[in-house]
Amino acid sequence: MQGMVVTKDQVESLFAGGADLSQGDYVIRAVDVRKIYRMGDTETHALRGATLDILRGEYLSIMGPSGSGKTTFFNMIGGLGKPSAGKVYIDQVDIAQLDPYELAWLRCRKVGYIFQAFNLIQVMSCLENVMLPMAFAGVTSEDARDKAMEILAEVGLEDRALHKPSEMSGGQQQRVAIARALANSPAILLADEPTANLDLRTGEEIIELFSRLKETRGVTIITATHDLKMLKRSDRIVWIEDGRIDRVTTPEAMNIEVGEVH
Amino acid sequence: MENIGTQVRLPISTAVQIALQGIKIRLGRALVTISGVVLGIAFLMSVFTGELISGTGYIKGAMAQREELNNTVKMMESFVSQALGSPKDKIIGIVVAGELDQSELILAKRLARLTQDQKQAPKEVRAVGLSLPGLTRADVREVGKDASMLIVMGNSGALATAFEALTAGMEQVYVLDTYKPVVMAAAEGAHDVKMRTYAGAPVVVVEHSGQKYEQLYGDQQQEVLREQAEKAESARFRTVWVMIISLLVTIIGITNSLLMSVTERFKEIGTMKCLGALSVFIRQLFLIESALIGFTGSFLGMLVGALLPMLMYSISYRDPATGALGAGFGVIFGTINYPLLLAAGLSAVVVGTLLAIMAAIYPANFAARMVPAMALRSNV
Ligand SMILES: Nc1ncnc2c1ncn2[C@@H]1O[C@H](COP(=O)(O)OP(=O)(O)O)[C@@H](O)[C@H]1O
Ligand SMILES: [Mg+2]
Repeated sequence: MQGMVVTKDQVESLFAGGADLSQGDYVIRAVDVRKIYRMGDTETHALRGATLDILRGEYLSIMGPSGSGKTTFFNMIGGLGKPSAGKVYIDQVDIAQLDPYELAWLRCRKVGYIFQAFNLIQVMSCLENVMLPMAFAGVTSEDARDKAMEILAEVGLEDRALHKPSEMSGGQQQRVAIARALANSPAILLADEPTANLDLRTGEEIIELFSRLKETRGVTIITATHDLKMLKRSDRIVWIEDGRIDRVTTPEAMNIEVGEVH
Repeated sequence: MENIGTQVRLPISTAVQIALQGIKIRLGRALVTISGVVLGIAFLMSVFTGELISGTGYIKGAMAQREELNNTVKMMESFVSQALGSPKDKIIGIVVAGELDQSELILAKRLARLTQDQKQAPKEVRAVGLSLPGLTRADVREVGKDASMLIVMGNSGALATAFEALTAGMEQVYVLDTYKPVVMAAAEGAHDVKMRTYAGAPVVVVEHSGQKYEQLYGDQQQEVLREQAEKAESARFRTVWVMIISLLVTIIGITNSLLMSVTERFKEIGTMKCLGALSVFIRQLFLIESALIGFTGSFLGMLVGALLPMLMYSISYRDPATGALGAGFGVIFGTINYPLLLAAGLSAVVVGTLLAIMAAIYPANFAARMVPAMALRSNV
C-alpha cells in the first residue's frame, strides 16, 4: 500500500503550477486516513488508508466509481467527520485537535463546500444563501449584502439575487452554491460531484467556472466526479478504488488512457 | 493555533430571522401546529374564564353569585309549595323585619306575580312593611288571619310584634323564616323546639299551645352549599385532570411536528453546519421556531378561551327574577373580574410558550447533534 502514496517528488513532477513546492506548501495533507462505518454488526471500510498531499492553488479531481469512498474522503479532508484512524492536516493544523468552535470556524472560513444536490436553503433567496456563511462569520448584514452581490456578479447571477432557488435552473443553483462557498474567501473549495445533477453542457460551464476561480482567486479546488469528461481542466487526477488511492495522474496521461479505451 | 480561530456565537436576532423564514415557507405545517396549541390553550383559558364567571371555589364568579341566589329562591319556593301544596285559594302573609336581601325580594315578587296566575292564584298575598304590585297591604295584627302560611323576611333579629300576635288566627301554621332564624329568636325559651326532617331538609318545629310552627332552618342552606362545594371540588379535579392531559397532548403534538421538521431538514441542517453554524445555533433555531409557534398559538387560544365562554354564558343567561334571556351581556361583561382575567390570559400565554419551548428541547437537541457530513449524502 505504501506504493500508492504519492511522494513530494512525484507531486512536483506532476504539477508545474505556481505553488511553492520547495517549502511544501500543502493546503491539505491526509496521512493514512481510514474510515469504518459501523451499522449494527456490519462494518463498512469506506477508506482503507488514503494518503494524499494537496497543493495550495491546484485543481484536483478525485475520480472513482460510485461507492469507492470519494464522499467519505471529502468528509475527512473537509473537517466534516472524524477518521477512524490516520491524520488530516489543513494548513498544517491537525484537525483532530480542534474543538467544535474551531471546527465551525474552519468550515466557515477555510473551506467552501459544494454539493451534488446544490443544498441551497430553499427558504432563502440566492442573496440570503450567499450571505448566510458571512452571517456565521459575524459579518454585518450591510457588508455581507455588498460582498454577496459582488460574488453573485462573479458567477454571473447578479440579476437573479432575489430569486428563490426553486425558481432557478440546476446550473444556476449550482452557481449560487459556488458563490455561497466563496462567501468567506476560503482557501479551499470542496465539490462533491458538482456536475452529477447537471446536463453535460451546464456541467462543463461549472467546470469552466472552477477553472476561472482557480486563476482569479488562487483558490484550491478539489472536486469528485465519476465523469471522465469533467477532468480536462484538472491539474491532477486522483483515482480512488475501494477506499484506497490507486494512482495520481494528469489529464494528459488520462487522455492517452481514454484514447486506448476508445 | 495561529491558523485557526474560534467561531463566534451569533446574536439571537439572526436565529429569530432564520426561524421566521422557516415558519413562513412551511406555513401549512406551522398552522397545523399552531392550531394544536390554540386548542390546548383555549381549553386552559376557558377553564380559567369559566371559573371567573361561574366558579364557586377560590374565586366566586358573578355567575356563581347569581346561581346561589337562584338556588336560595328555589329552596324557599320549594318549602312554600311543599308546605302548602297548591297556593290556589290560600292566603299567604308576609312580614318584613329590617332590610330585604335580593333572594327575599325575588321571592316576594314571585309570590306577588302568582296573584295574576289563573290556575295558581292564591286568594290573597298580604304584606306588612312591603308594597309591590299584587300584594295587599296588611296590618300587623291581621296578617296571620286565616293565612295558611306566614313568611318572615328581613335581616332584623327581632320582630316588633310578638310572635303569638303575628300567628293569631292561624290554624295549621307554617312559618317560612327565609333563612335568618328570626322566629327562632322570638320562640326560643318560650317554646319546645325540636328538629325534624321535612321533605329531606332539616326543619325546626315549634310547638306552641297546640299550634305547630314549622320553620325552614338556616342549616339547609349550608347543607346545599356544602353539597355544591363538594360537587364543584370533584368537577375541579376532573377539569384539572383533563387540562393536564390536553396540555400533554399539545406538547406531544409540537414535539412530533418539530421532529418531522428536523427529519425533513437533515440536509439543510447539515449544510448550515458546513457553512459554519454552531450546534448551539441550530438548537436555538428550533427552540425559537417552537417558541414563536407557541406564542402565536397561545395568544390566539387565550383570546378564544376567554371570549367563547363569556359569549356562551351571556347568551344563555336568564334573569333570576323573571327568567328572561337577553340581559346576559351586561351582566357577564360588566361583572367579570378584568384584572384576574388579564392575569389568567397572561399566564395562559406564558404557559403555552414555555410548553412549546419544552416540547422543542428534544427535537432541537436532535437537530443540533446532526453531523455536517449529512449534507453530502445524496440519498436523504
Ligand atoms: N454514513 C454512512 N454509514 C454507513 N456506510 C456509509 C456511510 N457513508 C458511506 N458509507 C459506505 O461507504 C462506502 C463509500 O461511500 P462513499 O464515500 O459515499 O462513496 P462515493 O462517494 O465514492 O460514492 C460505501 O460502501 C457506502 O455505502
Ligand atoms: Mg459520493
